[in-house]
Amino acid sequence: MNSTLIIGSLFVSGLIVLIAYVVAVYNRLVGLANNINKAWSNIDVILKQRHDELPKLVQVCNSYMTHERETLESVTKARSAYTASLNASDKAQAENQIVGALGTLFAVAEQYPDLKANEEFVAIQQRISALESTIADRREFYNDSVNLYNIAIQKIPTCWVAEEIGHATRPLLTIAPSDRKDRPLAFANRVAVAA
Amino acid sequence: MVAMKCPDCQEDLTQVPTSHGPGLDVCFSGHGLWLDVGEVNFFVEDYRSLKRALGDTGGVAVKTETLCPRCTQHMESSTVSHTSFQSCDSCRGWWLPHGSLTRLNETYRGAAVPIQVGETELYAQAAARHHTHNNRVRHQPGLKTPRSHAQGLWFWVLFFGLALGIGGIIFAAGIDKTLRSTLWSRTPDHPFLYLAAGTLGGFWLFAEGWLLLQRKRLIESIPTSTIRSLALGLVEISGQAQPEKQVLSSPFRGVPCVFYTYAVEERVGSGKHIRWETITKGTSEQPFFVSDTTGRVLVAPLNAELILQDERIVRNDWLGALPPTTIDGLNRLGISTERWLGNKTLRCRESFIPPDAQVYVLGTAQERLGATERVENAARLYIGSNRGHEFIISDRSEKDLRSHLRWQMWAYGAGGLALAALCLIIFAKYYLRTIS
Repeated sequence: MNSTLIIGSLFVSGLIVLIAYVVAVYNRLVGLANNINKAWSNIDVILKQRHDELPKLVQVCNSYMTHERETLESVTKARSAYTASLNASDKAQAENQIVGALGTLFAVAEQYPDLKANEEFVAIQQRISALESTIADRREFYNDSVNLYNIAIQKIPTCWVAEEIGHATRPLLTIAPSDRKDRPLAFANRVAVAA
Repeated sequence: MVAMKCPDCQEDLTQVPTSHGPGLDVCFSGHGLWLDVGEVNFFVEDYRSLKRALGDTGGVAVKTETLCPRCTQHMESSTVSHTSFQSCDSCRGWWLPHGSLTRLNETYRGAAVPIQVGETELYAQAAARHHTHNNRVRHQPGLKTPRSHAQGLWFWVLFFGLALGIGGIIFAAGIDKTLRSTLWSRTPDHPFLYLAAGTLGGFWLFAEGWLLLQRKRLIESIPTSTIRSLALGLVEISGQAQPEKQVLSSPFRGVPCVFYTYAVEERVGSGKHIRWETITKGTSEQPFFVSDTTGRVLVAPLNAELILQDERIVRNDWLGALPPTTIDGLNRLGISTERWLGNKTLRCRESFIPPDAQVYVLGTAQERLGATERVENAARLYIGSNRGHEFIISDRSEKDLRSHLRWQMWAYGAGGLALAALCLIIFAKYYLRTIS
């Protein structure tokens, strides 16, 4: 058999396989990276919904919790921080801040029976609670997406292609160490006694 | 706007947004950070006590040679609660050396919600932002830059394209040299046609294997969502199947189910030309719910790719007649079991998903028309088919499904490649040798 034909065939077959492999890896990584972006956008949508509930919550609480100005301010402040944050990392931090502020607010609200009986407050609290469950699920989903991507780009031989086309590992969404601690509750009357 | 300089290293300060309030100007080398007037209120819980302490005897101010980054006036050095920092009397901003903000934050506590300051993180962010900014500047057109990733990709595309071109020319020259004079003038005989069909069939099987690989990869790359938090678009869920309204019955055996698929085949022809001809096939169209521990969502199974484990077959032949439930089912489908001379030989296939069976669904979550805005996210969505997206319903677990696809992929891919290679080798051995 013609040796030129054999050499040509092997050469072409090898190159086709190599190119097909690189294209497949490239496309896969693009898909995985976009899954992460989509997962983050899906968290952002729910964060925005909760963000829209906060002024209503503060408004309802304001008329009952006249001595908890700082608690309400912390919610407003956390909301402003979310509005000011530009990237995913800052938004995640702001989100942790909102969770903390809301946790304190709802705990302090236990001291106000009239507020707890208010239908509007109960409805907002339920909506926020449902949104928080969704956020928690979507954070897990985001971390799953990031994990799949990070595993894909660190495996051999994908890592060689990933490095060449500029794919780097992405960070997982984590809870800040300060948010893992129990938050001390300082009620208005206790602060007054201490002062 | 002129960037502020670090009083220690004279490098530009980097703006870092914070979750506590305004953005801060931070030295990326970690020398310190700048607080504009009033900004300390956002980072120190009991800022009133701090300011009181500064005004009282606890605060000691000394004029320094260090210039204010904001207004370039000489700053004063202050010490309060064993923490030193510099303040500007003119613009009333503060320059806090590394660690001072944390110490002030820890010393002056007392608020309903503690303010946590991650100072180390601020410096890390400043360094990262400075690095990103520098990279962006370096990659601007007109500046000498190292080869970027996109350029690297282009290099490899051109390299392989050129190599493929050269290889192709060698390959074409070999083909031309070998076959020029003889083969194309011959009339193709039967073995030649079989080999050509085998080669094409092999490549077709290989392509099928490739598609199965893509499907497996898709399943692997999408994490399973909880139903409560489903988002619009391609989603993967797993849960128990439940009927939307009433439980269905499988068409030929009458087994309770939430979803079924069926096909009826008739044996036609005689002697060596007997074959099974499909008369009809279809699936139930009624949607069903899939529920997990967080909620339930409707699945509209139209146009779904079904991967079901058990297929039940009912047939009539010399062993016996069709059971009455199967005849009823055929009648409902408008299929007669008799012909003008005797009975038809029929084969009825059905697969189904019984109530409460575990199912896997990969499909497109879409908004239900007319759904009102509710708190329950899943209640306003359904999972159905969408052009360009996979839609798979299976009664296997995701792990089983991946394993099933892996075996299929290898069978098609490796089998197809082997068939094509074998045909090409035989072709080369029996045709090219005789020709050359």
